[in-house]
Amino acid sequence: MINSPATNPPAPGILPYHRRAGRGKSHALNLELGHLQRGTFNRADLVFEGVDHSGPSFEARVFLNHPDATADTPRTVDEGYAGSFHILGHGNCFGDVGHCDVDDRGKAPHDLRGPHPLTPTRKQVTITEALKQVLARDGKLEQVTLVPVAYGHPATSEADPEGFLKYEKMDLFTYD
Amino acid sequence: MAIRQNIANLSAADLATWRQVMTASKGLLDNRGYIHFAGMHGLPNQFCQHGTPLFLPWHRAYLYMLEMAMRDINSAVALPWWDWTSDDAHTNGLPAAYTDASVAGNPLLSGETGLPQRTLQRIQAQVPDSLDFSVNPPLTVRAPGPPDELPSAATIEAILGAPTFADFTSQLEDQHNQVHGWVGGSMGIVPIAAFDPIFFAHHTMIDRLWYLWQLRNPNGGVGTVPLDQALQGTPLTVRQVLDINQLGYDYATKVTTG
Repeated sequence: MINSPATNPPAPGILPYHRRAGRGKSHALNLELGHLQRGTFNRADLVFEGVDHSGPSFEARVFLNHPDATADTPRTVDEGYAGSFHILGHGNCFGDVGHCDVDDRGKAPHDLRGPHPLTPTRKQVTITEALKQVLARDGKLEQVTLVPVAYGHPATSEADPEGFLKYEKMDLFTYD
Repeated sequence: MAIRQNIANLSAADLATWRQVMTASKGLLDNRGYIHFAGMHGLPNQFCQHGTPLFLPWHRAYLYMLEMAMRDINSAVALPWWDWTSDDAHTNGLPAAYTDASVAGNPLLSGETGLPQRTLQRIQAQVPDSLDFSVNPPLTVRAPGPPDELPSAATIEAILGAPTFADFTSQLEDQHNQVHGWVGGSMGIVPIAAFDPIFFAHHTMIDRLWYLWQLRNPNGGVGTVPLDQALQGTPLTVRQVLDINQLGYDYATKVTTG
């Protein structure tokens, strides 16, 4: 549940538990049973490329065929819940101008530095059993819905009109 | 050989030693002290590696550097781990050693950042609930979630069964992220997470899980990571952190009889 109380006893430096829902994303798909070899796959992964982690930390909950899912939707197979990925965010930029602009460091032939720390990342959610159950129930996969839930930091998320869940693309991989 | 133990299993004497060393380390404001090492991870140095195959090797080297500095203070000390899959964690949340305010000056409750005023002002303006700004200097804070939302033992057991390093590190880092967010507050954002002492108990757990995976997969390697890759901020390469015994530590196991 969102904003249910923590059971830890109060102690110095302990703040109220806080969760806030972010702006979700829904992908319309139309993958019929035949496209997924009638559920004979051994593993199915949703892969999200270019995931932003410059803002708050958050959980992204993945629901299948449940476009109206919210942060209060139970995380059960019956509700189409397939799993989550978690982002450890940087909270925003505390450096000087340009500090958090992702640049091309590490890409030139003689640039041996690693990539910029805020280079968007890749996240993967294995959805094998949930996908099999949805296909058995509905016959096809029509929607993948992501519900982001941030860990605190209301100032950060409210200051971001685009929402803190940002990524470049989503792919579904199945393996026989 | 330093033997890292579960924080829940430390004897009263060992816990007292751990607190004494943490207090002493916090009191060192030069490059031997806690603030220096915490500042290697996020602000001001930002050496940490996340979302890459260097996540586990880099943090192993990082823990080693802090542990060695602490062993310079007291050679009997080793970093303890917080088992957030345990029944105690799923009932009570944070480990008692890190929340016990009845211990005078408990150094495990929170930490200073040592960051310059200008940086602190930016943090306060953008993420005001990430530090306790009512005190000077500001201290780390936590906003823990419901204990039963911590990763379960079954989840971690499944991850330990990952067949490749790439699969294992990807899944384990995701659980790691979840625990950072669960603790919340300062732990919830990369730049200041390591100033909270619970950070190191959490990461020692992560390092232990990598060790357990290595035991199951002695030829598991580190995927595509070059073995001679430097781990920034430390004198170590990936190759040098593959065997924890070569780094002078091991993890305790608990055997219950009767």
